[in-house]
Amino acid sequence: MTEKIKIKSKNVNVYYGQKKALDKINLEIPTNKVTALIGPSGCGKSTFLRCINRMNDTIDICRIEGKIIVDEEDIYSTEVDPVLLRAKIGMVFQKPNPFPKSIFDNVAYGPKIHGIVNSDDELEELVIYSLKKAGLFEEVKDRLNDSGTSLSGGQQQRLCIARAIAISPQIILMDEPCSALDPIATAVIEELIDELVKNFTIVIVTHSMQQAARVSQQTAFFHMGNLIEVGRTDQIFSTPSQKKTQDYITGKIG
Amino acid sequence: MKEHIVTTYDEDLNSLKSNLTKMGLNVEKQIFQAVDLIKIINISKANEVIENDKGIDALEKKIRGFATITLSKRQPLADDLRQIIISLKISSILERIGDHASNVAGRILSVKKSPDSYSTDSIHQLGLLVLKNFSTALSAYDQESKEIARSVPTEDITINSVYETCFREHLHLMMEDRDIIGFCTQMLFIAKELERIGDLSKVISKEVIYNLQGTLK
Repeated sequence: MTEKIKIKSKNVNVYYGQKKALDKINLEIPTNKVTALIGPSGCGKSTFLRCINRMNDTIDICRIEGKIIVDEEDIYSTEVDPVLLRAKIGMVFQKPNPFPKSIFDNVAYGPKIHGIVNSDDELEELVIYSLKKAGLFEEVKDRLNDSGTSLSGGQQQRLCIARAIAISPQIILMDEPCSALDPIATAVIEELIDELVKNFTIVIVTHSMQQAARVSQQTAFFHMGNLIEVGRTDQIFSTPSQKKTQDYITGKIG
Repeated sequence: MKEHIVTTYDEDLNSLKSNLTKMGLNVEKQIFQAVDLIKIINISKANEVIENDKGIDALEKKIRGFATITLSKRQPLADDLRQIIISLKISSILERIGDHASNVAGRILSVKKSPDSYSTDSIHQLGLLVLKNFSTALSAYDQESKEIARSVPTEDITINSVYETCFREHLHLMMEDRDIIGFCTQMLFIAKELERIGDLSKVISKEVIYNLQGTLK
């Protein structure tokens, strides 16, 4: 592929104590594309996702070797401040986790602590922009002061996406963002991903093969800590080159 | 081949395959009987071939319905998806081949009997070659064999040249004996039907290869 590469992992090994969770992962993630990480539970795909914004730093027994390069910079070098790094990389989790605050404050929180805005007007503008971008504004515009937790599951997840967007990240990591949502809410999120990818590089972990096939342009298949195969999504789902990939996507291994 | 975790998924795919194989065998029988009619004209058997074509059409509809349900129910990927796509395609080709066999029988009904001066059996020979190559294509599907599938297009080249020979031979026969022009014209139409079955067998073999290697080459 000739496109620009946003994230590059070089020989990444991850250990949880004695257990090796990832083994020599070399993966390139192109700019402004959706990359889907698929594989059975425990294969290391979420671990890999969490390496990209150094979320694994918070786990004491976790040890990481190798390099993860975002925009030509190794994010594990001592000069990189993880807080600033995470401002550049937003994350959306499996279960929507809005703060127990108002809808407005949920989105305003990030920009405030990162000092992205200079005035209340600017802040309001940014909150509205983020909610619009996440496709939620029309549904909540009359109740921005209601609690974020009062929203439906799908709306909460979009609120979390709005919260991630508000700090104007370059990368959005999504860890099974639709697994707790109904099909309609899922469709809304997928539609949103199609829209977001114009401005952001997205990495999504999903257990739904069909979802990966629908939303991503590149797919990587992980199995037992190894990256088995990576390639264009249409190729992975129609003519995978590895037997293990084929067996997994057709439902022949657990 | 490895089995799916969901056993009913395997059952669906197996059932699709067995229905298609059954349809293929029915079509094979139809070609066999149609070719036989060229040698020995038999009105009641010809009517039987035409009647049996309905059963083949019904099987095509059944396979189509089943494939559609499997697609929506299982959302298949990779080789599973290709297997369903080729069943749709092959079943429609088999239905066409069935029509050609039925057309042969229809031509036999309109000639009723062979003139005494007509002694060649070249079209019958063509029919036997076509029948054999169709059976080869069907085994390639049944046994999922690229090697068998690859032999089909090669054999079709022979079939085409035999067809050309039949054509020229019948032109000569018609020039020599004006009384059999009507009969020979019908025989040439039959030869054309057979040649089409040959072409369609080749398409089946290509679908088999597509299923196995995943690319249309």
